[in-house]
Amino acid sequence: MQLTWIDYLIIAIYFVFVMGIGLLVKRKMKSSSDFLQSGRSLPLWITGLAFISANLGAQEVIGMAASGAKYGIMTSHFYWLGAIPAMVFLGIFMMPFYYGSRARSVPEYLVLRFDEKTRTFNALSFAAMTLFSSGVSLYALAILFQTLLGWPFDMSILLAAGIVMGYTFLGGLTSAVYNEVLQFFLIVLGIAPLVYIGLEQVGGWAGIVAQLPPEMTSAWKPMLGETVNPMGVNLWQMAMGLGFVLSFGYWCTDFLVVQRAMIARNMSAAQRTPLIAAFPKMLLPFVVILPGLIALTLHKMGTDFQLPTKPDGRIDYDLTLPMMLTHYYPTGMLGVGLTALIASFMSGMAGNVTAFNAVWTYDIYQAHIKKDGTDDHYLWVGKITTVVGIILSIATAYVAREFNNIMDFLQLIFGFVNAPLFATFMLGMFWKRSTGHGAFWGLVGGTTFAAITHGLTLAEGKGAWLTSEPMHTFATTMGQAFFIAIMAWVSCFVITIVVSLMTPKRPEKELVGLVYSLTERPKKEAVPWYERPVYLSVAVLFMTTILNYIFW
Amino acid sequence: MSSKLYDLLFLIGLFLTLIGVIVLGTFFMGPSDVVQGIRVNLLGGSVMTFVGAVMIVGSFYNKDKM
Repeated sequence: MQLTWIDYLIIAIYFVFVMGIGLLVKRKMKSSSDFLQSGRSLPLWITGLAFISANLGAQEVIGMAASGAKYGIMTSHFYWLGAIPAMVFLGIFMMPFYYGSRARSVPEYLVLRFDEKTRTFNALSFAAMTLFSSGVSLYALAILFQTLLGWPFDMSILLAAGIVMGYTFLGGLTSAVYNEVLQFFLIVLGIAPLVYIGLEQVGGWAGIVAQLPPEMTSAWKPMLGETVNPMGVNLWQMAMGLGFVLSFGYWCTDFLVVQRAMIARNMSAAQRTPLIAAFPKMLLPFVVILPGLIALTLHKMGTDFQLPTKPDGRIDYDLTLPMMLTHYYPTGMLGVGLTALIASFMSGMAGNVTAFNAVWTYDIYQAHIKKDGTDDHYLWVGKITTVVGIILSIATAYVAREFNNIMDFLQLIFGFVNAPLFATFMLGMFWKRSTGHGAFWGLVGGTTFAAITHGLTLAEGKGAWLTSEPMHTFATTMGQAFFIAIMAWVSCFVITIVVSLMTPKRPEKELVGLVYSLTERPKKEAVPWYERPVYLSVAVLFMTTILNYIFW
Repeated sequence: MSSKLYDLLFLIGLFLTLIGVIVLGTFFMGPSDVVQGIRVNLLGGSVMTFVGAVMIVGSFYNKDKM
């Protein structure tokens, strides 16, 4: 496929704008708080859009379209069963503690609530995870351009990394957040026309339902019957594994997304950030999942669009969305569509690098290496960490190139780290008897149990590295991932309780503002009903229920 | 006017309008690519220009600056 100069011009204008935003916000970078926390001064509409855009990276945009084609509308459970309820829970119950404690990061809340070793364990695992995630985004971007445009792998890596380094070095977190907002509009407006064209060709949703088997067009029914559904999971695994453990674990404890709410101007805005974000989030399946279903329908109809295949003949679901863009978009819109993909990859990388910055500077460097540095010193450390984080991401991208299963590995690690962490936070925020020793050993135990479960079970040829005779074989790796997450959460929950009861408890006066039962509820402000978190939550949950009903 | 450069809403609006106008220009200047009876560049360019223009206008009522 050949791009014309118009498409390159659009891509170039995007690069100019992202660098320009970095230059414009540079003047505000006077302290470490400005650089690493945006001075906690961003307005609600920006934090709200950045909250969902931080998650709208490569794995989301490319991955959800791929899952739509592979698993059908059941993929929407990642949104309507998982993300939305978790975002409501974060806004109503957890943000008051994150924001109210004045913690600068999620690991820092852990040191306030528990102890240093729990914070350090989480900070190190999170830092490693973000670097790998950032590198995988970079790797995926380079592979995409190599496949679609024939650009050299090394050049793609260096170009994308250089631009991300430029604007994050200049403007820190603020620059990353502003570019995430820009990316949101670009992705929605760049992909929506594709959905419209596709729906026209397949005859609308009715046409998709007519062409595809029932289990691909129904979100809930396939899990209620005896037949095997595309994801190979039952109702319990879906509700507990994805709906509760993985989604709440990610949306409520992953600093990458929680950081976007923590930089809001005040407590009310911090609480409303995930709730405001939930409205566009619940509609995103129509932009990122529906193209996958449309592609599958077009494939089944025998049109001139066919799903891409790998050299061994199997369908390459990951290329579904890029191939649709190149198939349907002419010069002009093609440049917009590809720029949207570039934006999602680069923002995903920038989000990870800025989260890594904050955790490294506050939770590792300031906590263990230099406790009494000046603010200028920590600003300098934050900037140097940006450069180091980008260089390590480049290295990780090359590691990813050597191991063809690193994306699966990364997804698995998310389950290992986030699932037990959610149990730690639940007990930390809602059970005053939980202790630092309990939290630490709970996290270690949860992660270990997750690894053991993976080592003893098998799915699509993956896992079972501890035994030659797997204890259980799952139909899909997704079903296996859900079960591992459940095991990690339950084991962390139980171990934390047992060890906490065996170790001395902290005085209650030290836990005020950190634990639900010991913290005074915020007084109701004299604001209109639509600005109150509880009313917003009800509206969000009502609309999500309607969507679940429509696609029942 | 230069102070508007520090308004994110204005900047995003400017970006979308610029890209939208380029896409519209592609439609008006070159042979139109029609898919399923839809003029893709006309549709995409119009939507982006419209959304961008609305954001630019909205930015003059927006008090938040970078």
